[in-house]
Amino acid sequence: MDEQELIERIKQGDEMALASLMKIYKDRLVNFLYHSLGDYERAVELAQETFMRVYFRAHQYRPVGPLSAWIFTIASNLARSEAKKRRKVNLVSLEEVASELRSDGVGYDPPAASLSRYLEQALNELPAHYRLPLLLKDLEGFSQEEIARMLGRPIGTIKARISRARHILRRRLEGALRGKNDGGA
Amino acid sequence: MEELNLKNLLPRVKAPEDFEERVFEKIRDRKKSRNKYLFISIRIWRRQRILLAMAFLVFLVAGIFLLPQFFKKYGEPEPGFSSAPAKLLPAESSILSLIEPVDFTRDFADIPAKKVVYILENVNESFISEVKY
Repeated sequence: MDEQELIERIKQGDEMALASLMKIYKDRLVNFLYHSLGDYERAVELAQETFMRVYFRAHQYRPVGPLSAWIFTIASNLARSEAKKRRKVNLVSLEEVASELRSDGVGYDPPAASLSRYLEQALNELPAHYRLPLLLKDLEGFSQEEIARMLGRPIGTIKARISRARHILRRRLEGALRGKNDGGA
Repeated sequence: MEELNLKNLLPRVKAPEDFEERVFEKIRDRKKSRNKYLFISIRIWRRQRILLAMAFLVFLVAGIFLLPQFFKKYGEPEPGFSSAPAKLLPAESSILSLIEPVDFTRDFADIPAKKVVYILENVNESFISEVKY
């Protein structure tokens, strides 16, 4: 069953269709929201809220773009609202996350420790309006035009923000790795 | 530094196993609270509709009975004025003379009898002059 059929059935209130949709998108959504917020439990709650909104507002979906873009638009709006509520960014170390996820029985693939740790920290330190477009582009693979539509911003703004976010991350990683190497020497 | 590949560098997390179950639970809860809210708002609307209809009826009835009295009152000549029409004298150059009968009886109704009332009026036909009586 393709996604358009799924959404048509969800409009009729078909919960089995929603279950199929969740099977496709739940991991991606939780992953995206986790990196947007830096908080796994909150990411799971917002992912659940996203699917609830998909269910209750399925009649608002227009097949102008892919269904994934609409779902991630809802998730991005939730992430933005959440980021606004928070004054301080949560810095989560990779080790803490790994032990937390293993104890919950959730699958987790640890990449090279130090670079990932610095990257995760640098990502958490980015403001939300830089972090969200960057994650949508580099993590989820949406085009800049799609991201502009999803976030309701001009495409020039999205391009500039993605470029700026990458520049900041690169600078921070270089600084962090240089400092680590100097310390080790 | 080479291009950052976030997909490869960032850890991937997954949804918990009871994810779908929790979503369906929340959907059921929300449906219940929506139905309850809908029921309450229908009751409130019905009650308000009856109250509004009653208020409209009261105003309508009051209007039917009170408005004619109101217009009738404004149709009568004001106290102090007789019903005799005013007389218009022939115009002389730029002066237009108008004689208007005035009945002061009602204005002095409260004044006890045997009191003397002086009414001062200008009887001189020219514009600027002192009052003569």
